[in-house]
Amino acid sequence: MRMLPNIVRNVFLSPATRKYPFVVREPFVGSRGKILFKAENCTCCGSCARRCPAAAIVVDKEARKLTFKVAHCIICEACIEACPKKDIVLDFKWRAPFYDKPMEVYNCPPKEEKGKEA
Amino acid sequence: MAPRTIAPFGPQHPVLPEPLQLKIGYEDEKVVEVVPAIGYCHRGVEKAGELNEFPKNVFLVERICGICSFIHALCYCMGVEELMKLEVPERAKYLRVVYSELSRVHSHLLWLGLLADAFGFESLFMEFWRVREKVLDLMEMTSGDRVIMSSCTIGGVRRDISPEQAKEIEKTLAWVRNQYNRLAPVVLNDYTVKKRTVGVGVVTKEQAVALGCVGPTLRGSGVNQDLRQTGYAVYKELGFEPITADGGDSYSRAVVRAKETYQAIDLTLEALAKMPAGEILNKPKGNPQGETVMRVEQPRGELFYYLKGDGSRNLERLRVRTPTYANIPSLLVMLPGSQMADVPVITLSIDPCISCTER
Amino acid sequence: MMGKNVSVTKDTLVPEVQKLAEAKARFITATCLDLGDQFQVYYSFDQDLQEVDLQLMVGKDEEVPSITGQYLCALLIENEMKELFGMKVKDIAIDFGGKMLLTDTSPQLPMVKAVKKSGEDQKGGE
Repeated sequence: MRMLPNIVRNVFLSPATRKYPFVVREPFVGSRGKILFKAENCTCCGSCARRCPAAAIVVDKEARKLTFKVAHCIICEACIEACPKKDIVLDFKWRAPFYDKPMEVYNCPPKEEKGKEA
Repeated sequence: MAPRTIAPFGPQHPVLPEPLQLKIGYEDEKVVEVVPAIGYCHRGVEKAGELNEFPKNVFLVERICGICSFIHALCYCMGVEELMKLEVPERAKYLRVVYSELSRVHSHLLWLGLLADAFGFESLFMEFWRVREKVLDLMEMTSGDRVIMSSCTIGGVRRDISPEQAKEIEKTLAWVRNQYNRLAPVVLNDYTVKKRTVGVGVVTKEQAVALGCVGPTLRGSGVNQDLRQTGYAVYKELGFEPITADGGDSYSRAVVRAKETYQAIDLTLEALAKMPAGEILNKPKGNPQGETVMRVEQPRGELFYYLKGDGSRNLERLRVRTPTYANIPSLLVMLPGSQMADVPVITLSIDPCISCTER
Repeated sequence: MMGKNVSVTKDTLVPEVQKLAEAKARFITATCLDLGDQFQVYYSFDQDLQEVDLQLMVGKDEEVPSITGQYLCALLIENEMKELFGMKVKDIAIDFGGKMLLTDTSPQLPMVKAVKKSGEDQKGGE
């Protein structure tokens, strides 16, 4: 009967669960929620696509487009570590469920001319 | 002679949490013979390990199992570091020990809850899992994810623990120990729990070694063997002694795991206190060459990795042997002679993890 | 780090395993590698946390005797080597007949290295 003190205690304590979805816990700082591409300084080098273990990023250098397959992403942050311009950001809030698999297409800025004109 | 019935236990069963099938032959509620069958979860991880480049294999390997995912990544990274002759910084070794022992705490709390569920003690099951939730919150706060921590990488760890986070870990682990002090005596000393587990599923010392058992299944039969004695990462500096119990039945295995939880909490706090300052990552250069074997201690037993590299970006062979693979043949000895109602308790006492077994 | 390495042939395999069984060694696992024209198999044993490996080289058509007579726990890994590599192992204690992990509709003999065609590109990380 070692459980009896625990049972008596639990009668007088408040419930251990939150009333989700009315009470939502704030995510921790650094929590892996989803990957956001800003595409402001992107040079289409392709490092993120080479390092992605799930092959979720496709970079098209001639068309200056970056396609991100959201449903394939395992949120491992390998692309964030690989980007030389620090253009990819981690969002802490978890991603909402979706019915069909979205594909996000970003337009990268056009290529700079080599050698500035005086 | 009593008529023999063959009934399958699993792969879907309300009490069995894993997709394992045991074809059991009964004679009037007594078990006479057992034939195991696996194969419900095979994903071909060893083949995929040859098709991926070797840094991406870390993400593949940590998804073999959810409960012990950090230790799979740790073993793989230690194997590749040995093939590339790479030195890991001291602070990274201490951080790896902190995460490994947190994994052990949450795995044993999960198992204690499932044991209580196996003989119908639902309120104890819920109490253990309520305590486990705080440990998962600690993992999310420090590494980013509750289950698949993705913290270990080749050359060190990816994220550091700040001093505020270290204080939070110490406070939470003190709360966990306090709650666990109220719950552990229910498993270890309660009259009804002992009636269901003492003398049930007995494996003697010689049988345990001959059948290749590992982990608490081996230590519950009195064999003093734990891979952490070899001193990988920083276990040599932390002063570690394995925990054994005599008896070889389900109660001894429960005692070993219950005491290992206390030891894991102590090891985490000690590693946090002794951690030196410094870097956490040593970037790898080059490709792995040669062959090596790496063995570490998971919550369920001994994990064995064999890696062979040929100098290119892909590994030539990746072989994984998980502890449940070694513990399943012991069911062939434990089950015959027991009653039908003891079958779930005995199967759960080896702590099966079929997604590890099948890879 | 690899343990002590002992070379065996398929005739000396069972006597060597018998010696280890009498010395109360614990069977860890067996690893099979496909070297193109033959198989290389490592049988790993543990003696007081020291590792001992028996290395066996065998052609793809030769039959290997089973060690389940001395170590019953080897039955799972010998069935797996038979299914995934096509290695011929005889007299296993419980023989699943090639149906333990794979089914009729799955790819057969998946671990055998495919012969590389020229110009074939391997996609990383699928």
